[in-house]
Amino acid sequence: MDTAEAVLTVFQKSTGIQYDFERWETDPNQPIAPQLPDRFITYFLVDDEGKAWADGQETSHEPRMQISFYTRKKSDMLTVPDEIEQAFVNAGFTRGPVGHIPYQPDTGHYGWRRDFYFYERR
Amino acid sequence: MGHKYGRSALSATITMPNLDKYLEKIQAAGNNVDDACKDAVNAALPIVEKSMKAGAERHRKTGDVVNAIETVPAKQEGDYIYGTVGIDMKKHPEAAEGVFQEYGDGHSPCFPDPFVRPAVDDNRKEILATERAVLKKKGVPID
Repeated sequence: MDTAEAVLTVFQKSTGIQYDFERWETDPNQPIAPQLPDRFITYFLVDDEGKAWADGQETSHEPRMQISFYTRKKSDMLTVPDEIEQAFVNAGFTRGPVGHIPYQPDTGHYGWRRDFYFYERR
Repeated sequence: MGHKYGRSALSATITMPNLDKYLEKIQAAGNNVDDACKDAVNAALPIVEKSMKAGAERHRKTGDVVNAIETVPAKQEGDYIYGTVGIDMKKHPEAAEGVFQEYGDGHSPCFPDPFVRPAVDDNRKEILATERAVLKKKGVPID
């Protein structure tokens, strides 16, 4: 989580695309669409399974994070996902499953998601 | 883009692991290896379906997501035997809400709340136990 947060912090500085944990915080009593930025990223922990054990102790694990990118500008999908992938791969993550998140007519956002794994010794 | 794009994975596949290990034993027991494995997979599919539907029920609005969850009985491609539980998004575009539930929509307080992946992950022991029980019934020494 800390490493993903660090990657997204740097990414935010270089691209201006803000991020939030799990979901963009909104006021449920106000219309949603105006509260959301045109482009934003969310991330969360999907799972965190042990990978190796010795003497009854887990010696390594591999957290899996989902990174989601939302944009109102279609053409962003041609560039930003690749930039996100590059940032995470450069930080030592490996790429996992990818897919799209359906267009949301109520907010005007297109969506993309990819899982990233981070192998770590205990 | 250098990656696959445009897919919404909302299905889980159940397979039979270590097929070769069982082959000789099953055949020695006089049963058809393929049929035994298909039966084992088919016996486990309802476990996944029940869990997946229960997960979708947590956010039922129209019932489109729950109703779109379908089980496809075991099929065979060479030595690969598999059954599928999930939503075919081409067949059921009305169930798009399921994608938001599984992967999030970026803003809803209740999402993501995955129901597809956990249907397998959270029931792994029961799935394997069920498959093993069927194989044992078919005369396959499991251990």
